[in-house]
Amino acid sequence: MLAQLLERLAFLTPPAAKAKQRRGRPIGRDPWMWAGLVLVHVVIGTASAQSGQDARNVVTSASSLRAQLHSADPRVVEAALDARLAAGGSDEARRSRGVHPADEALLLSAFLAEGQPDGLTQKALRRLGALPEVVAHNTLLRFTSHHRAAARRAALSSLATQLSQRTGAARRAAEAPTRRALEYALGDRDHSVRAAAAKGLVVVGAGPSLARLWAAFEAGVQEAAEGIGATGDVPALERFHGYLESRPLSAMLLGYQAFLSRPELPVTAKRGIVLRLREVGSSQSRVFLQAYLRTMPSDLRRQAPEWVAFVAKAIAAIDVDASVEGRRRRGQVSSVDDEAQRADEPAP
Amino acid sequence: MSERSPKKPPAHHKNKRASSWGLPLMLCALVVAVGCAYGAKVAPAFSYRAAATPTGTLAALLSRPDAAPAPPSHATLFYTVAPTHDAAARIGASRITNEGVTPLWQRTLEVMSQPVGAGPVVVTAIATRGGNAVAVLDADDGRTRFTRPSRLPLVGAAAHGDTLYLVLSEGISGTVPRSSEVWALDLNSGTPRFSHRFAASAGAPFVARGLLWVPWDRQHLSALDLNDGRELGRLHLRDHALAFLVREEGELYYGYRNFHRLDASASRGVGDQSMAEPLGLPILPGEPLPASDSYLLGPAQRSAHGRVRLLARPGTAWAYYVYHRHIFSLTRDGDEMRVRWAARLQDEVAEVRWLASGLLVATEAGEVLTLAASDGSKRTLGNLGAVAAGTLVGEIDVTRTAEDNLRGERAENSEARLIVQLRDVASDRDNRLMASRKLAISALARHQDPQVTRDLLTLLADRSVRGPLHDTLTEALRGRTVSWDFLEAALRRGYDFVDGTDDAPLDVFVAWLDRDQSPESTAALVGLLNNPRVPVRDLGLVVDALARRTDATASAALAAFLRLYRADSVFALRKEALSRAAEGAFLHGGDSTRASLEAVAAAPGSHAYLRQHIQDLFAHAPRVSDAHASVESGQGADLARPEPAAATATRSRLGPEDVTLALESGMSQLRACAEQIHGTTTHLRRMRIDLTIMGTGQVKDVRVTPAPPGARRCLEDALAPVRFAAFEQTVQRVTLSLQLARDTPPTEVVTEVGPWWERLRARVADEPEPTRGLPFWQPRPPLRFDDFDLPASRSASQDEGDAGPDEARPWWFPTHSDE
Repeated sequence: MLAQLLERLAFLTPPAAKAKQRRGRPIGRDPWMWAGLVLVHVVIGTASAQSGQDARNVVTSASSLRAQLHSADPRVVEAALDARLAAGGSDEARRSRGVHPADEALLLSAFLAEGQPDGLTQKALRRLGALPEVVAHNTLLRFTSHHRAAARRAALSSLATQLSQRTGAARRAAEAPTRRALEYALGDRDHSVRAAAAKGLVVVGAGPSLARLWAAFEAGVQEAAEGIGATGDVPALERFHGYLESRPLSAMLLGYQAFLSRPELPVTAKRGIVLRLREVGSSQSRVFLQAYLRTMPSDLRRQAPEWVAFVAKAIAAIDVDASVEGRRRRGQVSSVDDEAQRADEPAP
Repeated sequence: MSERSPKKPPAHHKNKRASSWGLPLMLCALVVAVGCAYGAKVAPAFSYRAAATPTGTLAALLSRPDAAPAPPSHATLFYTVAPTHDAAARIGASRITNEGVTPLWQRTLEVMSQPVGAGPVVVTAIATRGGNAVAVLDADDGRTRFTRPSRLPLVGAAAHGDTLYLVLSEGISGTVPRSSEVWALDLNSGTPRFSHRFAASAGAPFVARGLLWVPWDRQHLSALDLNDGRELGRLHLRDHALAFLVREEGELYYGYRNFHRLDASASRGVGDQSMAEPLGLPILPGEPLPASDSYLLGPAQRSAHGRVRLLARPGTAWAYYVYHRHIFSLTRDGDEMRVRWAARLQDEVAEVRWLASGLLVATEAGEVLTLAASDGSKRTLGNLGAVAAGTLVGEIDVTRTAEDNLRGERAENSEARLIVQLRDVASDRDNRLMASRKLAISALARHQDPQVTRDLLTLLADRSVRGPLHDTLTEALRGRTVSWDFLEAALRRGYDFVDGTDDAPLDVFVAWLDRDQSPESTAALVGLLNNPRVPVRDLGLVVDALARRTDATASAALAAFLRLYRADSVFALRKEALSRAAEGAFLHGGDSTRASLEAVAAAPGSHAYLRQHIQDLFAHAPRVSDAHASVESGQGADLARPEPAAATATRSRLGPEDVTLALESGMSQLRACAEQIHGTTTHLRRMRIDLTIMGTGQVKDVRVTPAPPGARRCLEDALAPVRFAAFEQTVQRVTLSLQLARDTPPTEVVTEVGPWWERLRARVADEPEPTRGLPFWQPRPPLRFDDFDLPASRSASQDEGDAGPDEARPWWFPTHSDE
């Protein structure tokens, strides 16, 4: 491959080197050639870096970021925030010799404390979630009390993301307040905030918050099902089965998906899930099982062919034509069935 | 030759003489006959043409001996059971003693009305193939003694000796023509003794003092002979309506909202001479009468009829109020009603009877229980399965010993127990019973126990508490004093979707916190300001309370709040919160706070209205600072808002609001002055005050008409510190009417005149028609003599007949103003 590249770059070889080559000297030992290659590499690298900078509008220093955030032109501010969002996580930021995360967290916190229009606030909060800094953490905690639901939602999601990136003592220090904020937000007035809190608890680990998640699920927070499925044990699964008739199937499938994706859960418990979904017999449950089978890792497929066959058999046993959907297709649906089908729809 | 006898007058001459006497005699006989016939025709029973019985005749009738039947040692419940899909309607009877309930009989019958116990029989309306009928059943075994087809619905029955008296009537509701029948039947065979049919509505018959009393058309009470049905007397009521007739302690009472003694003075039909001790209770929810309306008999099925009842007795200072399944024992405490005890039953009350020692209750679930008069403690006697409608007759002693009986009459429920009972009723989650829950909450709020505050707060957090119940609770909480631990706990317990708790009453909490100017209350307000569970629509209350605080914590919190939300869409339309926060921060904050305000105004993206408001604040800085000083010195009731310069410049003259606002500052002096004038000249009821106000807002001259000694000086001193707003005119005269006392006697304020027939009589007699006053069934407001405390006294212009549209104007409101 290197030889092919050298052949393609032969036009850069000086005439003297060509003459020597013609005289039979090996091309790899020619210093002119190497110098030319280095030069080409530098030129190409610089050009590509410049083009990347142009594309991302990269902020290369804290002072320039500060200047852009304080710009009177909102487009400049938005572009700066977009650039920071595109810069990715902390490690990449450090490597790219951009703004130090601590400086960036300070700048963004001050920027948010000054009060911003909705769009800028949302972007800044999202960016703070990528910065595992104490300042960012405190700012996000403060914004979980914001009077706008979207800001609370963004702050909660960023808090969960931030905590998932932290390790060791930093994580231990930040976990309790984050978990407290997420659990508190499960009782929020806005349903999207409640959903974000439930998902955030899944991200940070729902185990310690299982009781609150159960309460939230019973109160109607459907997204809490995922947290229950991610951490609940077999008795919890049995309890979860009890809501199959009273909660929307989409919410139940969230929980079932989390239960099925846990390798430590006994197969008998997973069998119960599949059997119940087969009893439900709706197209939604069949699609769910098909997707589960399709996304199953190949090594797991090889290790447990009986399990795969069992799920496939359950899928085959689901007679959609006999279900409500099938009857509706044939025009045989009654109003009662219609109600039952509507109950499967997620709540607005 | 025959001798002729003296000439006799011819026969036709004699006949002629006879005929000359006979004709007048015949005419007299005809007149007498017609007169008698006419007299007999115009004065039958239940006729409108008959006049009321004179007082003497009525006294004679009422002085007849009255032998009230001795109460039995047991009570009997006659009840109906509603039909179900697999069982027909039934009627039954059970004997109730202190030991329990003994079923007597039950039989299937298409009953149409609530059963009525009448001596040895029970009477009910039934449906037959031929139509409706009245069935008379034996009270002991339930067998049918006889039935009689009936055209009209049954409204009541009474028995005396071997005669059964029935009244059937319709038309009381006005939907059909009024028509009634009174039957007297043999109790055993149903053979008619006499009957009356008349075009009026009638109530249930009542046997007392050897007479059959039948109320009709709400205004008449006829006394009939028990044997032949002749109308022996009649009471024509003009001031009172008649809904029931009861016997208490050997006396007869009639009434509608109150009890009136049926004595000789009642024959006049006017005035309150015959009124027994009135209940004095307010109109309770459902507006029940103090006794069952005798014109209406409930249906046999389950219905709302009779589910709201007031049980009262003349001369008794207490009453029982039944609202579906809540029962209250009420009494009067001065002018107010007080709850002695309250009880909450599992099922709705189908029938209830006031016993000497408590209440006997039959519920729809068939439970028969007693409630002690002293404290409402319940004791179940038995269960009948189901009762749709019923009638309880007889008397039992629900307490076991004489001491208990005595205690039941006199002892009072303990306060702690009453609080528990009221809380139990108030926390009933059945929102159909909102009226009685509201009554319980109002009664609960009278107790100043701190635990009650906690109970009220707990109730308020309940999501079933809505609408008027929520308002009642909020109002009850607003007037209470709370300790910090309660308040903190209440503030923590706000809305939570998972816990199912509802919003805290923010206006109440803010009012509480506003009373306390401590740093803790400021911190609590700041906490509310930053609490995302506080609805944005209510943040204005919190901001307003913080804006009135002068400490640095409040102004710093307001500045931070302002900075954070200066460009947020949440407050794009809710301008009040940010505007008020800017005012508070501007007035009470230091230089740094003002600098931050300027920064907010200058920052890109800030709401335009906020930027403008802050600029206005800085532009009118001296004026706002003056208002600030006024607030700190306690002279101003509220923070004065800075006004735009344009508004000040365009005020050409003072308006009514400007005058009212300015006079508020000198109100205490004006009031003292008015009291002083009234004290020296009690005959003076109204004064006219003419103020001459300069364009600078200064009062130049005060004139008083009439001018008692010292009045002008007093008013000048009182008005000296008053500063009106400046206006463009050089001078403006403002006339005020100062009312010192009522100009009409209090008794004439609420003119009590007779009902429509009184006015009709006056119109026919060409008498001046009395002015229409409050109808007799409406409660009169209590008279108040403290005129100065009346929120809305009448102004002079209103006294002169041109009442203004706003009657709530204060008494100092200018009647007119001119240059």
